[in-house]
Amino acid sequence: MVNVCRETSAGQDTKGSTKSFPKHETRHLSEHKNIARCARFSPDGMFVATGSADTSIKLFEISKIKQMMLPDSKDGPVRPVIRTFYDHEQPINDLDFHPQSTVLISGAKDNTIKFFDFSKATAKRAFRVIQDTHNVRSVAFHPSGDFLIAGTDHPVAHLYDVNTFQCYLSANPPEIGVNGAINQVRYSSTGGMYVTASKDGAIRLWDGVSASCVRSIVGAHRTAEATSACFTKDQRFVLSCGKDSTVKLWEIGTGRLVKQYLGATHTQLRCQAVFSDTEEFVLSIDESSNEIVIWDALTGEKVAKWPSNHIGSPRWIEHSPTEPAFISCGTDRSVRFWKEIL
Amino acid sequence: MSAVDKYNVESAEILANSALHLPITQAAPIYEQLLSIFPTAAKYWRQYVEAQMVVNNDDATKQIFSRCLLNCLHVPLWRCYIRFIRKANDKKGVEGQEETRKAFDFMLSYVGADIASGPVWMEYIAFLKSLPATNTQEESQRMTAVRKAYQKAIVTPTHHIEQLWRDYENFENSVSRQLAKGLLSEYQPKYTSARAVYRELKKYVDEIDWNMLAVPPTDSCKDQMQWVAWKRLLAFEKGNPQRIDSASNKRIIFSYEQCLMYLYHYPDIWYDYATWHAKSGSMDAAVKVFQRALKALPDSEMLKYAYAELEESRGAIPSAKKLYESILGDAAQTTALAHIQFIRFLRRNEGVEAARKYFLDARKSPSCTYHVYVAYALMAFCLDKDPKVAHNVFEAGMKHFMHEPLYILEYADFLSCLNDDRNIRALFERALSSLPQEESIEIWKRFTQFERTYGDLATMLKVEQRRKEALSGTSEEGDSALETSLQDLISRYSFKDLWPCSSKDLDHLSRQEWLAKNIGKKVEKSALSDGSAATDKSSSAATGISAASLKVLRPDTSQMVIYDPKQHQGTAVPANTTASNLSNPVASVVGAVSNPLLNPSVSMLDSGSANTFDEVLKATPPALIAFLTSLPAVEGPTPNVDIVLSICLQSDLPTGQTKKSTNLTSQRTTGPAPSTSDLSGSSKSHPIPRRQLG
Repeated sequence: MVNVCRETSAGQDTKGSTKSFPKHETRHLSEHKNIARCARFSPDGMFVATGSADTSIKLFEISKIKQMMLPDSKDGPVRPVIRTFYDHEQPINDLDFHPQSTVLISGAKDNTIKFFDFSKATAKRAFRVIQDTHNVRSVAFHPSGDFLIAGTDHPVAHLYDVNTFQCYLSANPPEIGVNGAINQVRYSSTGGMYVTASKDGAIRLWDGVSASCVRSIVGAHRTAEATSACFTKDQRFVLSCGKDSTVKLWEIGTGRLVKQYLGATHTQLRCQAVFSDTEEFVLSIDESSNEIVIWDALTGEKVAKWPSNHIGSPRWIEHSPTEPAFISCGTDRSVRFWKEIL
Repeated sequence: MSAVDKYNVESAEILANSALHLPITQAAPIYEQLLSIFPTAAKYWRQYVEAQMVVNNDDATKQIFSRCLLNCLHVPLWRCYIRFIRKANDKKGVEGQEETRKAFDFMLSYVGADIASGPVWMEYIAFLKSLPATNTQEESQRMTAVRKAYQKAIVTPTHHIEQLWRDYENFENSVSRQLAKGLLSEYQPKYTSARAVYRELKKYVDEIDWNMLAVPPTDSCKDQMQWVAWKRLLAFEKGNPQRIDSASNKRIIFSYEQCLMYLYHYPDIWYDYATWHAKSGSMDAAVKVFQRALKALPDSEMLKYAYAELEESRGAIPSAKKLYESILGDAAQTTALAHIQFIRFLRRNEGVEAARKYFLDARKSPSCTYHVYVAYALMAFCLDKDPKVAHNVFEAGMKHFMHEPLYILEYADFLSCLNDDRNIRALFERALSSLPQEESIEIWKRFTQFERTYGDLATMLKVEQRRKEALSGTSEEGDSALETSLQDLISRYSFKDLWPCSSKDLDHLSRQEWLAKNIGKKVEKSALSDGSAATDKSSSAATGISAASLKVLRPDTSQMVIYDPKQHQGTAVPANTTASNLSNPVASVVGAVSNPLLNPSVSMLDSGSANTFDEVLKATPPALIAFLTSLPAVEGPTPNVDIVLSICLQSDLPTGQTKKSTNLTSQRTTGPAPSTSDLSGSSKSHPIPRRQLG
């Protein structure tokens, strides 16, 4: 990614040939009882969790998924789901893993954030609950693991101290209109910043230490909702996705738009745009053709369009942080795993 | 390092290439060396033998073929062989022809099932057709031979199956149009089925890298995928896709043999192959496979045990014993496990005395660990039903393994089988007096468990207390020093999977444990930042990757405002008294309007408390509330505030609060927007219409 950044920040389109995205194989992993709404990998890439409108959370072990994908496993069918948690009363919106311990958190429509300890095979319920005031649309752990940030219907993100449950807000938030509900909040790798993607189409960057807003990119997706935002590993760029069917790369230092990834229609769902593990590629969803679209992050050229294999467009896509593999969640209730064919 | 280098594929290729340009006398040692490392590399064998054939070195050629053909079912190599045979027999007349025909039959019996064997079949048929026939009898014999060959070829799934079928049609038609019809209609379905199988088979075959050299398994993805590809092919063949009885086993054997050319160092394939043979009844074939496997992997203990198991189960005890002895190897390398398995083998097949004798010998071996004592004692106890011998063995072992906590535990287990509580207590005390603290944790654990089962209340409590005192300093028990005594009580009064509390209580306790751990962590951190800011020891130890590579920036909450979401009762957070600027205005508005409205809603909302209602109002935009409350009492058609709000509240279920509130928000933007902006005075669209007016 370092190279990508140097090129793009120089403002030049690279002449270098577009990379080709390796072939992947895909497998149906599991089925929720209702729409699968979100997925998240653990930071070490060993686990992935999915959340559903049926209020359940499923936890998968990646090694078991891979074992399952071997065509001829001797020990009969392998079950990659190692835990299922039922504790919410409303659909799950987002999930995150504690950076160091075996704790998974979930944000849900029932205004709560719940903590699950997945080291115990038997615990099906949360061991701690944060009661928020709003629909919790997005959650993210601070890299220290001592704080978490929640994006809700409230236009300002809620910062929680994990040990005391005290909730903090920015002391001087910018003026945000009525449609400021946060669709996604994500921390940068050091926790020095966090980014919010809001229904009002704005992308806002906040100082991770003081919680003051350092940059508002108002109208990042014009008047359409901004549905996802995430940092590059070097914290110099933010990738955002909106219901205006665009995926955009922003330079944080200047607030300048450096790249657009076009050609995927997404106007209905809370669509995600994510980087591949090496940040060489950008992945998103085309709702109209029900395809997964992949761009070369550097050139912005579309390099692949694959049928999603879901019935109806997938709702969510999430890439492993450690290897060429990703997961897609469908309105058809199913969860699919994708992995590079080696 | 040397083991890796030995199987270096690149250097092997370079070597093989260099040999191509050398005279055979110099090249031969190179080939020999290569083939000693890659004995199943058909391509090197072929290169070697071709080099010999070029210089007409017939004896050497024959000798090489005899070494490689049966282990390398590789069509190009076998075609070399047939070329050699044909050349040698070309000028020998009838006798030579007979030799060649035999060689063809020999070859087709080995590689005739190969998907690439089409050209071989064609060559064979062409050869048969070329045989001279001097009279009608010979002619009809020749025709029968050709027909037979065709009929075999067209039911074999090969790349050339379609062409072979066309040739066969032509052949039959050229012989006799009348007969052809019957024969072709008989063979058509067989051919069609073979062709369908070919198409399926091709998919599996295409996955396989036929150029791969047999190297020991690595974790590389390519190796894994090749293994998978072979397993798929084998499974396909085992499914007997052509639904033929006689040839199916032959095809499976052929696939296994080919597979082992490439996965020569994979014990699982050898094992699968041998067990497949054993299951299909051919024990001798299974034994042969094991013998070859041990030649390929002479160090594989697994395969030796597998082989010995097969021999033992079919009653070939001497042969099995030999294998066990080879596992034992020479005294210097013997493992404890080898001793144990041999003792068990002897006990099974030669009786108590033989086992005892061997145990007495094994005791003196330097590789004899406590496991051997435990294994023998348990054998004496469980199989020979002789507790006295077992006890003596354990006691004798104490002389050597006093310091092994696991041995003590095994011994204690044994004694508890005898119900010998006095000796168990003595054993625990003996062990605890000699073991260092960090090795005695498990002993203490077992001791307390033991007292829970055998002891009275006083001994039970006493041992637990002693355990706490003894282990208070160790890291293992660092947490349990903080552990509430309630947890001890729970473990005292639980039985198997029955607990004196609900799973919720357990969750609650584990949550406290988690909190307690975090308290410890926090203290550690703040102590560190107070003392020396430079050292970053604790966090890097605790946080692994992120802390090691990146400096994490922590939020400074003193720069933020506290948000008090007015938590529901029952959550862990203490109610905070400082009201934030966000909730303040709402709260005051609620105070102003709530009373007349509250009553109907409270009765409806189950979880109803003032809090729920507060939240509904909080979610309602303050401006709307302000708007509603400040409506002047005008005459005429004006909405009743009470009705409007009660409708809002009635449609609001406790679980659906947020949905409702967002609805309200959006309604506001589309509905009464101008009037709210009048009130707040913050609208940016305001100046424009005014200017237009003015």
